[in-house]
Amino acid sequence: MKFLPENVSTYGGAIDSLGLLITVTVGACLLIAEVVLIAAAIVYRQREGKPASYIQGECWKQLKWIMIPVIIVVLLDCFIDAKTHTTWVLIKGGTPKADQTVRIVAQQYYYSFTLAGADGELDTADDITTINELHVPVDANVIFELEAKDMLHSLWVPALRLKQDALPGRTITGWFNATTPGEYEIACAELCGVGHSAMRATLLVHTTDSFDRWQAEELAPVTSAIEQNATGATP
Amino acid sequence: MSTHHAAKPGFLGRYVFSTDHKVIGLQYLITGVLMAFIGGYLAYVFRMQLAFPGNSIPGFGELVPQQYNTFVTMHGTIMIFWVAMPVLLAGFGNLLIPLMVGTEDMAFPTLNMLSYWVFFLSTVVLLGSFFVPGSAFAGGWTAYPPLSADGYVGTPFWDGLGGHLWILAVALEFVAFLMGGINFLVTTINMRAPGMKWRRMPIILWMLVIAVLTFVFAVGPLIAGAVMLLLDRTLHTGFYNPAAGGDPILFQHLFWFFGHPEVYVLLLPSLGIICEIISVFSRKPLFGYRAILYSTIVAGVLSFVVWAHHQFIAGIDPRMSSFFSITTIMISIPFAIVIFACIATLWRGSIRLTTPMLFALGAIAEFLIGGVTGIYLGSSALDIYAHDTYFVVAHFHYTLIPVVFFGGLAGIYFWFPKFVGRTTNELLGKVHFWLTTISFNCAFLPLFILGIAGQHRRVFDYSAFPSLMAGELTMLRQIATYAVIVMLAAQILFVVNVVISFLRGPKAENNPWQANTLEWSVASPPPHGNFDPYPAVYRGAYEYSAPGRSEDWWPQDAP
Repeated sequence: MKFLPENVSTYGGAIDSLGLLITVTVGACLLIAEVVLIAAAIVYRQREGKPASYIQGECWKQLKWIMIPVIIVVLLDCFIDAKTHTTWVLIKGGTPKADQTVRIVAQQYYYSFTLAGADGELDTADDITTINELHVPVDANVIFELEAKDMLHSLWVPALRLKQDALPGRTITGWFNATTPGEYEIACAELCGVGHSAMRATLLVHTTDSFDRWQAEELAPVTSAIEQNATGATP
Repeated sequence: MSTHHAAKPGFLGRYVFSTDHKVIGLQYLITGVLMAFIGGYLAYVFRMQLAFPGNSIPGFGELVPQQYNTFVTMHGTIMIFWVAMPVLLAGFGNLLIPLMVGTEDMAFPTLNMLSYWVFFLSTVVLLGSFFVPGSAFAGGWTAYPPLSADGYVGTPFWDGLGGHLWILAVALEFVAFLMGGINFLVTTINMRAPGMKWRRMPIILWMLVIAVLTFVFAVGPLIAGAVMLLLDRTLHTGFYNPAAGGDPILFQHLFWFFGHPEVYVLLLPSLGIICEIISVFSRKPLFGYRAILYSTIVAGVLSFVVWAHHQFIAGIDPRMSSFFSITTIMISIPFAIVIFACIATLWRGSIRLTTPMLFALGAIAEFLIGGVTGIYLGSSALDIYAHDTYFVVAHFHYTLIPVVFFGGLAGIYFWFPKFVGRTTNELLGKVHFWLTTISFNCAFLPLFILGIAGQHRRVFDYSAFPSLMAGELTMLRQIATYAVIVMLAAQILFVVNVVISFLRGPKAENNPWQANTLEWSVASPPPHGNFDPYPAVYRGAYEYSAPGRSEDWWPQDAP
């Protein structure tokens, strides 16, 4: 599909192949049903001397013509359900071990991202908070804690195949692992007020080196302040 | 004959405050059709904004984001609650039930009149909300709090008037449909003509009864939810406010516990119309009457355990999702049976492609697309991607437009001769059908592609998203908009056809389509009191092309 945004997450492929499975199976059913419907409407048009057949469809001999297709539909449904379940469990069944932890706060009309840094703990001195920019290293399990300040919002990153509503009063945990460095769009997918359209952030997936450099630059003022404090404390 | 026929009523009593089910049915139908034009105009305005963001819109002017949210909200509200419900359920239900069961009127005619006038009041309240300070409600037709309960941020009472009126209008409307629904049930259960056994009822009566039962069982939780929302808005209670110990997700559960059965409340009457028409114009018995009936009952029951598929990513416990994913995908089975039965009815028939038949076949052909795209969204894992994108918008328009517009128009063309006493123009009707079908597909197929591209919903302007501003996607948005304009313009043909036919169409016979059900055995239009004498019923509704008869139809009341 040329319109589908490029997938850059580890589990995105599973979602895409689930989409493909559904497209192939229900697409085939749809095609057959439409062809039969249109063909029947054309073939059995009123003709002189050809009366309609009196078929009530009350006995199995006749009903099988719809029940056999229905059984095929049921089998396909079961197949789709099974694949859906495994994909869902892969994504939502739990979180892997964290390489990075980030707190995401959605509010009218922006996102703020707080990266826990090397210690993996939020609310410590090495946290980095950015507005509308989420910096993560490539190939790292990023665990997010999603919160909302005011309204419902929905974190929407098409390239990661990630969407999760954010609710005031709740912290929702989720995860992703980005596989390709680059910049990707983040949107809000839940109507959150008059500025909903303008709610837009960017995901920046860094190579490991570039992420370390960015982290060091961001932390430089903090580090020097700590050092100054330390030197100032000694008389 | 009951006493209310004794005194001859004047103009007001006959056409305005009438207790005659046919007048009330027409009042509902006409109000619904007029509201459809308002809903369509709103769609025109916001589609123009999406195709040509920031440009002044011919026939409106410049649209600002707040108005955009209002228009999207009111478009959804009007089309579901003020078009689909009054046309399909109240309109056709009132017109057809007493005639099809073979009685003079509804069980409670005065309650029936009250039902329409409460509905009319709700319409006035809803449309009036456009003109209050702050304009009409802008929180989305699903009205999710906290946005819909903007009291939390301290909005003064009068500034939120549009939202209060929106809740009031919806509540009034539900009161109207509860009164109408009780009438439907009592009339169908108690007032059937002698010989009209349950198994002999036209399937549309079953569909209406099951739709009403579904509505009655589902509406309670929504009313509770709406009352709590109104209290949150006006008295600043905290039912949905986490800061006050409430929970916004509670509303979503209450809303969708009603909202999903509601989809079937709309679908069933329309499927009933389609079944009747397909059987008549195939000159064949409806294939698998019992299979359709049992499937419909199963679907009605199942519709109460699928609601959380609207909330896969809303923050509910992930372990709930697989259950709702399975029930949702399983509900496709009863509907597959009904649709396959309709197709099987065509098999070896003698098909007349009249205007109502074209619309009925078109409804099935298009509804199939809506049905199968529901599988994508019912699959919880895929819904992570598809939720709140234009894929959803395309999907539900592919279910609702075939059901409401194709099914509704099929019914109007089919029963027009009966209730107006004049015949519509077939050529105009067919042109109307083809223009509507082609433009409908051109308007909504592009939305599937936009959804796959990740375009999210309820957005005023995509300029903040370069990937969504790509040339091809912009072009798709413009194609969709042009097609909507053609689709709306095509409805002028319908209006012209109906108005000219009403004024000077050829007089209709009693039974122009040679159909079996009881309404065709009386004059067109049926007189006040319908039957004289009361009919007796000797057989089911679908004895077409029965072997050993010279005629290919066999009316239910023919001895």
